[in-house]
Amino acid sequence: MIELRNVTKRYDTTVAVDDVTLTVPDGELTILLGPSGCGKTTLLRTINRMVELDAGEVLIDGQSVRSTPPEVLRRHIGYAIQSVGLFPHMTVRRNIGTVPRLLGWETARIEARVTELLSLVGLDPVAYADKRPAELSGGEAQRIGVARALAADPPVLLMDEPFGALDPINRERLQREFASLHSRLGKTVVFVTHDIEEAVLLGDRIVLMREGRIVQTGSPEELWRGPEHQFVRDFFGDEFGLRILSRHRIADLKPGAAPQGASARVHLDTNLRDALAIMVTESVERVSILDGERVVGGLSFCDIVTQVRESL
Amino acid sequence: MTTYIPGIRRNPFGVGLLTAVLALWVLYTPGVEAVLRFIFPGETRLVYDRSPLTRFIGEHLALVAVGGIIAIVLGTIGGLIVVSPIGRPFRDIVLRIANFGQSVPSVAIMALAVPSLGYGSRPVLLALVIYSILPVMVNVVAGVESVPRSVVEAGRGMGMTRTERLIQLEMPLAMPVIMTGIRTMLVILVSAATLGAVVGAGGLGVPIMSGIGSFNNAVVAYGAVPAILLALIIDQAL
Ligand SMILES: Nc1ncnc2c1ncn2[C@@H]1O[C@H](COP(=O)(O)OP(=O)(O)O)[C@@H](O)[C@H]1O
Ligand SMILES: [Mg+2]
Repeated sequence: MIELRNVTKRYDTTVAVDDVTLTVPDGELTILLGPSGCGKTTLLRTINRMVELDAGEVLIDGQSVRSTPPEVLRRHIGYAIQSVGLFPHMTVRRNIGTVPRLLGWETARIEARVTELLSLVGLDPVAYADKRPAELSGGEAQRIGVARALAADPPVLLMDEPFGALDPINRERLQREFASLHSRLGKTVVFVTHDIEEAVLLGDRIVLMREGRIVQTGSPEELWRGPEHQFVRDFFGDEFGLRILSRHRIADLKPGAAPQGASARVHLDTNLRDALAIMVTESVERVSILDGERVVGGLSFCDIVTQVRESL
Repeated sequence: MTTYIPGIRRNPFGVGLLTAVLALWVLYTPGVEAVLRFIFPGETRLVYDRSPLTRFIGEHLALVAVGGIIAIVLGTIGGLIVVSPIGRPFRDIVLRIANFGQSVPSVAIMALAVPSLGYGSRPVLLALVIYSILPVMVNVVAGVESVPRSVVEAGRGMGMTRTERLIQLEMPLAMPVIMTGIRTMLVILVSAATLGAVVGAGGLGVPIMSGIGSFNNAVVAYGAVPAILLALIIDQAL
């Protein structure tokens, strides 16, 4: 668990982070979201002491980060940034092995870990281990960046707009892969982004910031259902509801009766936003739900809208 | 993606060829005489015969090597100091002083140094070092400053100490630029070292000065050709 207590950071006249108190629960993916310049990066970097505080304290598992020398602390916290920052003169293998090397692992152990991580991020170890960063596409480089951050198996991962430099298609692919990676690995992740879609797609919790302060914290559904400020509503905009729909699958809802006769069909693992799109495209108000080939029920437009509001 | 350019245009074939020519020139005097006789048919004295060329080239190489190593060490240390957080305030003034050092003619430095250091290699080395620190230092500074900030920040974020970042990231990434500076510096040194003859430090300047003194271009060429070959070899070997 990461606790930030009354954290403040000033640069000359700007107050980058202004008296922020926040708890990041273990195993969750917490998003720091907000407009550019609102202090997300600064707040993130107080956790691994890349930014030293003017006031307040940061605790990891109850222990102040100031009780550990910064280099030692950072070797136990994964860190990935937007520009990737892969070391251009090193092979992918050496890049990924950076922190294990700093920690003094044996060569064989590092080698095994590199292979494991490349597979984990969906790259063929044989084909990629000896490449240089200049030979990688943006998406590949970003995967290596994630693999490198995970190298020493740190319990906490800090990510600063890691997919920000990718084209929309690659970005979405990596976001989905990362979401599934996160649910498998169960790391505590603090993830900075200014992209609402990314935040809603990935976040277990969203911390919405403005001008160095937290406006509201909660799951995307909580922020959607109960915005505490006009700023929350304005920031997420009219599409917030649709984006919430894409977080959930048909299987998350209670099915109703299947429609009579021929009808449009959706699968249990179709997300609700896509289900809605199918209804609009097919001009139907009710669809059949398939589990494999078998029809297991039906859902109407109204079912989706009311259930999403009330029970998700 | 930042592209990593090794920036080194080594040319092993050229180096081999030039070295062979240089070896012939230094070791096979009858051949050299034949060439010079062909080019300067009017000259009766074709080579400098009071000492063998091997001695001069040995002295010359020693001056370049010692001066070069001192300049590389001092220039690198100086460059690293002014890009470090402690030295950064002095960056501009130090580079300006080094620039001034290079703009003072080396003959003038030697003339000023002889009264205190005496004749021989020491005033030459002083002049050569003062003269060649700048290209090294400037390129160390330029090289380190050209390393992408995201790379260094990533290193910091992963827990590299300042020294680890310098050794594992900044120096290797700056190396192509630093090598350009060292190459330039050594080529300058090879030609500047010919001035060693003026204050009795020997080197290929001895036959050149002697040729100039007696208006004998063949003897000038006898000493100048190996100096040129040496400069070309260094330029292509590094
Ligand atoms: N090293 C710094 N020096 C001076 N000002 C800074 C520095 N880092 C950040 N700031 C300022 O602090 C504020 C918050 O910056 P940042 O945390 O990078 O915002 P975000 O990541 O949300 O875009 C901005 O006004 C920025 O200009
Ligand atoms: Mg930022």
